[in-house]
Amino acid sequence: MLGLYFAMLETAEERSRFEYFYTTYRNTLYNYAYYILKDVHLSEDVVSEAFLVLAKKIRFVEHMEEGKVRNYLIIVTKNYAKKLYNKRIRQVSLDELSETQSSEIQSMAGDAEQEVAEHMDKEHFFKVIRSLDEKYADVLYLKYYIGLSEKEIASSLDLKVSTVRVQIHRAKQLLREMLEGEEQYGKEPV
Amino acid sequence: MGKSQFDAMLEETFAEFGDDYITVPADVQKPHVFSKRFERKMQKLMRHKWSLYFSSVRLPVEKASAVLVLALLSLMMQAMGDPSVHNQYPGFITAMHTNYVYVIAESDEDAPETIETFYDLTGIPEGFAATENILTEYRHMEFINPEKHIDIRFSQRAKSQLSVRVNGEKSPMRRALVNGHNGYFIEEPSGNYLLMWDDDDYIFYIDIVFDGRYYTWEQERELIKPYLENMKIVERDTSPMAQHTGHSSSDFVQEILHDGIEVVEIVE
Repeated sequence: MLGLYFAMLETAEERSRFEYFYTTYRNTLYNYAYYILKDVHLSEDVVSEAFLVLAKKIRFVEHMEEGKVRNYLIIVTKNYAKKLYNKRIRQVSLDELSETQSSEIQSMAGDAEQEVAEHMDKEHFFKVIRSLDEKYADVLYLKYYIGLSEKEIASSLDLKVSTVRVQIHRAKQLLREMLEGEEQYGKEPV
Repeated sequence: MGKSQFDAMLEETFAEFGDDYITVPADVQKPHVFSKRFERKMQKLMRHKWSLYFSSVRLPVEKASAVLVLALLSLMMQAMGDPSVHNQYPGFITAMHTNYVYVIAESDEDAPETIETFYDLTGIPEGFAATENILTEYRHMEFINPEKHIDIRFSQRAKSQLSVRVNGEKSPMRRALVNGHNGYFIEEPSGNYLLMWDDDDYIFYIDIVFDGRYYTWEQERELIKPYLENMKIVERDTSPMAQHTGHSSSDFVQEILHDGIEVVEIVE
């Protein structure tokens, strides 16, 4: 129920913080959504969804730097906009994987990760991360920079926890493969 | 180096370069004039959260508040001489004439002029046939059970369109708090009872007629109570998102205006 989200904004401080982000970033979020959807009303719907998510997480972002909150909102907005865009063009979402598949993949620990990590240049590594498909890079960002748990990422992006787990695993697997490929064939610009 | 070291590398990399992960170009900061629908939706949400905060704080003293309200408000409207305007019923203005009382919303300044958000009455027991009439400023749903002779009527009206003329002598009005909102319980001359309340954006009515017989309001109240408790008023998703996709714009947020309709107090 909608009320439950706002029931979580219990103090004047939380309310004030929420309103600050709302007034400061609603234009930014709208423009991100519009860039993807090219539709005024749909973009506004997406912005309102993003702020609902923020209301739910307002305590979590209480002590977070503003830039992180902004980026969090942008990722949430882009995610909803893309989902909606995909629905509109009737694309089949590839996000859904069963818990079984998830746990199977989870058990495949990437030993090769350690090898690529040993010789990694951080700046280059960051470029490789950014070259990933956004959905993979975003979950890594939310997990390793914002510090969200898989459950929190799932609730923020309206995904199953198992899907988030799979995306994180795939993201790391892709990173490993890209970096291994570089080692084999020499670095290529990303 | 184990897997955790790969994780550590990710953390260290993001710690160093994470601020650059999203660069906000100037053009995404250009101002957009949000639609009135959006503004109202967000304002409503912010009002809602705030009222919930206070309602949760007030909960323990709810009984005391009710007693205070009882002490402050009179039993029923009395016919008065020349027309005079009263706002002793919060949320409404009552203009009292010799033989009737004229009720309008106290303020419709921020309220939608037409019905933008449609609310449906759900939780109706089986055996009722539904009909619906929709106008831009008014909508009406009716549920009729021909076997039991029960007629449930539910209306949603733009506040600017509220204009109820009540027979002051024969239609006593009692103030009611409906899920925390200001409202009236109006006894119509026919013996029917109309529950009306202001939900900030719209005026809602519920009227249940039982087999056409006359009941006192105490009897009526007991009769309608189980119906009200099981009814929900749920937002009908008419957003562009729903129209495009067939899914709710709030797949993870089911927006329910009232989950059960509770008449907290009838002011005597």
